[in-house]
Amino acid sequence: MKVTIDMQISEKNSEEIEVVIKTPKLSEKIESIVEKIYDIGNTAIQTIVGRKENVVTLIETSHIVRFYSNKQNNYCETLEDTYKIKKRLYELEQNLDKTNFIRISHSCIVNMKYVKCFDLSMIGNVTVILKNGIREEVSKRRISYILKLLKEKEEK
Amino acid sequence: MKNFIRRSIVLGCIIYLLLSFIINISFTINSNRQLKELEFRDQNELKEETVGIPKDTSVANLIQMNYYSGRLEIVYHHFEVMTIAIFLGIFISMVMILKENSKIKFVLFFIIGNIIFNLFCTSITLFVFQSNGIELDFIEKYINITEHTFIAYTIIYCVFLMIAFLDMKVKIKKINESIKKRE
Repeated sequence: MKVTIDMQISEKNSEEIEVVIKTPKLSEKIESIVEKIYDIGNTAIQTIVGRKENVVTLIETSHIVRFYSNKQNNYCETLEDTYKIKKRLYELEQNLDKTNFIRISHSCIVNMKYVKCFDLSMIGNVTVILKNGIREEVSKRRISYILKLLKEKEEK
Repeated sequence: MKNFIRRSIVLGCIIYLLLSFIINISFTINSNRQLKELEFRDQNELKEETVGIPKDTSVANLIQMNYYSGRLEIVYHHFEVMTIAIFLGIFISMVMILKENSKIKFVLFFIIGNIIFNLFCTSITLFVFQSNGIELDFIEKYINITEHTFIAYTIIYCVFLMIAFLDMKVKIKKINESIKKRE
């Protein structure tokens, strides 16, 4: 692996560090490097590495509808596809952009951009309806938290 | 529903087996102790007693009747154990099915809430009676209070559910409004 540090940039762009990874194809190694860079940078994740049928893909988080766990595996879902991811939901909750992603239950984080509406059933169950038509159950304990977050965003 | 019934039956049977096993052992130990006490008395003290019995009965008949009533008592105990086992079986299978069917939680909360509510009322009543020098049986009073407070408790429970539902509805409405604003 070759590491190059380019310091020949203008003063205007020096506030933010830019890391460029040059590789012919995505692999597990690249995946862990990307994750570590995000961890060190302590910034909101912009892209995430997902796998589908042994093909590794770099997905922009803004295209992700929801992250969810099923049978001890974690997945992310875009409008087109579902990918298996390595990151755990609590890690994602910490590192994702909090203005868009909200944890709605112990097994799901949704992107508020893709939320159609919330629905209350006759027996008191709360579900969120996503723009791709999927319904996901919302934990009642998180309702007040979601409301608080949305209000904060509105005030901003 | 099929699973629920199956689980209830299996759990009821297991609980019945365990409880009746414990009760049988305690009966055996208790009766052995009593028999030993009787034998001890026989050896040390002897006395004659005159007992008035109906004309058409004999002492042998009385002993036989006593023998049957003893057996009946055990059967009644087993019926009680069976009833407890059935209720416990249903209760535990309700807890087990809670994840699959969220409607069950209303029934469970109702039962648990009712038990707590009645225990609370019974304790207060017993405390009040005791402070006035009247001793009451706890279980008897508990059953008595359960009979009298059931309707009131059901109304309170329904009102509580309605308030919780309306509160949730208001919150959901607010969330949906802010989602629309974002769009």
